[in-house]
This record gives sequence, structure tokens and C-alpha cells, in this order.
Amino acid sequence: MNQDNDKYEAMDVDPQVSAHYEKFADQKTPADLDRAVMHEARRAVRADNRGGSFGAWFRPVAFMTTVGLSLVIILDLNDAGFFSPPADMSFETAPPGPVKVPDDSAADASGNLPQMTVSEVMRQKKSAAAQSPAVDAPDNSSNDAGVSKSRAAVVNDAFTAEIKNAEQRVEKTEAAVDANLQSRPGAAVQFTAPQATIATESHLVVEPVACSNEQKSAVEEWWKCIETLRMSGLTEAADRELENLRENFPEFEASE
Amino acid sequence: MLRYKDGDVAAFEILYRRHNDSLYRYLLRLSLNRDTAEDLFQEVWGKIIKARHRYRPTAKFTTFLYRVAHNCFIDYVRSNKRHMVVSGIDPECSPDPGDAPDLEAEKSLARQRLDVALGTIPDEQRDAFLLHEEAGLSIDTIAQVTGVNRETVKSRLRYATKKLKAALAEPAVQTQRTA
Repeated sequence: MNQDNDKYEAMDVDPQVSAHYEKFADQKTPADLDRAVMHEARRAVRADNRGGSFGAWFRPVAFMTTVGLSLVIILDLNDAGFFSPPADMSFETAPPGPVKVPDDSAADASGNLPQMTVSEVMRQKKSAAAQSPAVDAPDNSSNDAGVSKSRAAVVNDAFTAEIKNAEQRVEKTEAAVDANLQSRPGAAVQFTAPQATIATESHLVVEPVACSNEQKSAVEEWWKCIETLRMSGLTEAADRELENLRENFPEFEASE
Repeated sequence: MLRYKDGDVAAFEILYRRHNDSLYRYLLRLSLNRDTAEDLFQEVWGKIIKARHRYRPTAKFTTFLYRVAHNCFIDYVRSNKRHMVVSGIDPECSPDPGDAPDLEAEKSLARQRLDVALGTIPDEQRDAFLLHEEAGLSIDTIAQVTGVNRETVKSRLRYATKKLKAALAEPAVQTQRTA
């Protein structure tokens, strides 16, 4: 306590009052309070020590674990197509329009190929996979994430399969035409049957270029065939058939 | 405090033993209630312990300690307006076993008169007086702790001293009757 009177004057405190206070204000802190405060101080230090050793390795491990789990979830969602737009929408609204995909089962009798969108191909693919799971389904026990091969990959598979089917159909058609030509005598030189066909890229067109043997058996029928050829604009073929007719039936008088 | 921040509990104990009694008396005279003083005492030291990592030695630890104590008391007053009504300081607390019964009775009576006199002055004046007497703070430091300017502190000290002097000069019977 300050005992200097000058200082007390400067502090505006009476020295007698201060002395009286100092004399009788002599209470001590209760022992239980001392113990409680010191216990709290020791407990805080122990908590610091535990937190220090624990936090030294736990925080980096927790951070790395969080980052790793986040990456796994993002990759899993990406594989499931969560972040990509649906394949149906992207292909059906594409500027070139619907994709023409030939299909054997849907082809009509004339050989014209139906127009199918990718979604239809996808649906057919899925229905086929459902009907024969042992062939197409890679793993029946897998869950959604396992089965969810990306839609783009499925579409690519569908395109590949359909292209192969189209190539096989073209090969079959060419083989059928060759067989038809080879089965007829003199076919390599001349098309003798009206049903002889010319294959085009998209469909088959029947073009009569000569009269058949059945028509040639009767002179009237042969003449009608010649008239048909001429009216069709095939004048050279008509003249050729007429020359043959005169050789075989010299008595026939054609009305020119 | 910096040593305690690094985990030295013994350093904290030295610090505590240096300030515990004066802080206790400050809170006891300021709140005029033993239970309140003990609660505030634990709260102040708890805040000191929790703030050890943020502590910067920009001022004396005494200034830091009593600023925390002053703020705790202000919060207590704001949350409990009736603290002035209850005056529960036990006049027979912590008797000195070496004193004779007559002397102890006289000291107890004088202590009671002092408590009654302190209870008659406003909180702000009593706070300034106790910060000067118990903590030994200067006017500037008291102004820093209480958040007022220097002249206000001087005025509070002057009024507190004047009232205490008048109260202590009165006869003991009259003082007790007033209380």
C-alpha cells in the first residue's frame, strides 16, 4: 500500500482511510477456492498435452481421409452418369436428325431399312439383354454402380453391332445376286430375266432388260415383251429381242 | 503467464499465490456478497486460464487480471440487478487464531464498519477505491481498467474517500444503526 502522503494527495485518497482499510481488510481466499482454481489450471494443461499429441497426427489423417472419400464419391457418381446429360436427349436433339440404323427384324419386304433413333436401339438392346442375361449381362450380381457402364459406351456397342449387321446384310445381298446370276445360263453376258436386279446402296431395284424364256416360248408373248421394252425406252434391248424373234419365228409379221 | 502458456503449472501457481488474496478481497468488497465473490473469483481465474493462448504481455499481468475481474463484475451487475440488496459478507470470516478473543471481536467490529461504509458508496466509486487499495493500481491504470478517463477516476476516488472517511469517523453504534 502507498504510504506516501504526497502520493495520496495526488491520488485523491486519504492516507487514514487507506490505512484503516489495510488494517481490517485482511480476508484470505478460502482453501477450497484455491484447490478448485489450481485443479482447473492443471486440467487445462493436461488437455493441452492430450490435444497436442492427438492433434499432431489426427488432423492431417482426418483431412486426407476426407479428401480421399470425396474423390471416391465424385468418381463413383461420374461413372454412374450423374454429371452427364442423358444419352437419349443428346442424340435425339442432335442437328443431323435421327440416326438411321438398319435392323434385320424390322426391315420391310422391299429391302428399305427403317429409321431408328439411338434411344430405340438402346431400348432394343436392353430388352435383348433382359431376355438373354447370360449372354449380354456381364455380371448379374453387381449393383447399380457396377452395372452402370456409361451410356456412351452402351451406345457405341449398339452402333458397332448394327454396323456389323449392315455389313453382313450387304454381303448376303451381294452373294444372293451373284448366285442368281450364276444360276442362269448366259447371265454373265446378258440379263435374260425381267426379275434380274441391280443392287444399289440403299435398296434393290428390279429392272427388266430382256425377255424371259417363258415369254420367248410364245411368239405373241415375246412380241409383247419387245413392245414393253420399247415403251420403257430400252430400244436397244427391244431391237435385239426383235432380231432374235425374227430368227426364231421368221414367219411372224410384226406390226410396226 | 507465458510459462504457464507453455504448460508450466508451477509458474501459474506462483502467479496465483501472488494475486489470489487481493483479487478475492477486491471481489468481496465490490460485490458485498461472499457467494457472489467466490463465483466471480472462479470465473475470473477460469477466463485467465482459458485465455492463456491469446495472452500477450502488452501490459502488466495485474492490469490484465483486474480488467477481467472488473468486466466479470460488470456482467454480473447487468445480469443481477439485486446484488446491492443482499449484503452477505460474514464479519467473522477467516479469524486469526493468534488473536485474543477481545481483539478479534474488535477487529470483527471494525471490519463490519468498513464493509458497511463501503456499501454506502456507489459501485463505480467503490470499484475505483478498491482497485487502488487492493491492486495498487495508479490512476491511469484504473482508467484503463474501468474504461473511463483519468479525471473521472480522480473524481470517483475523491468522493469514495470522502464518504468512507465520514462513515468511519462516526461512532460504531451509529454506523451499525445506519446499516
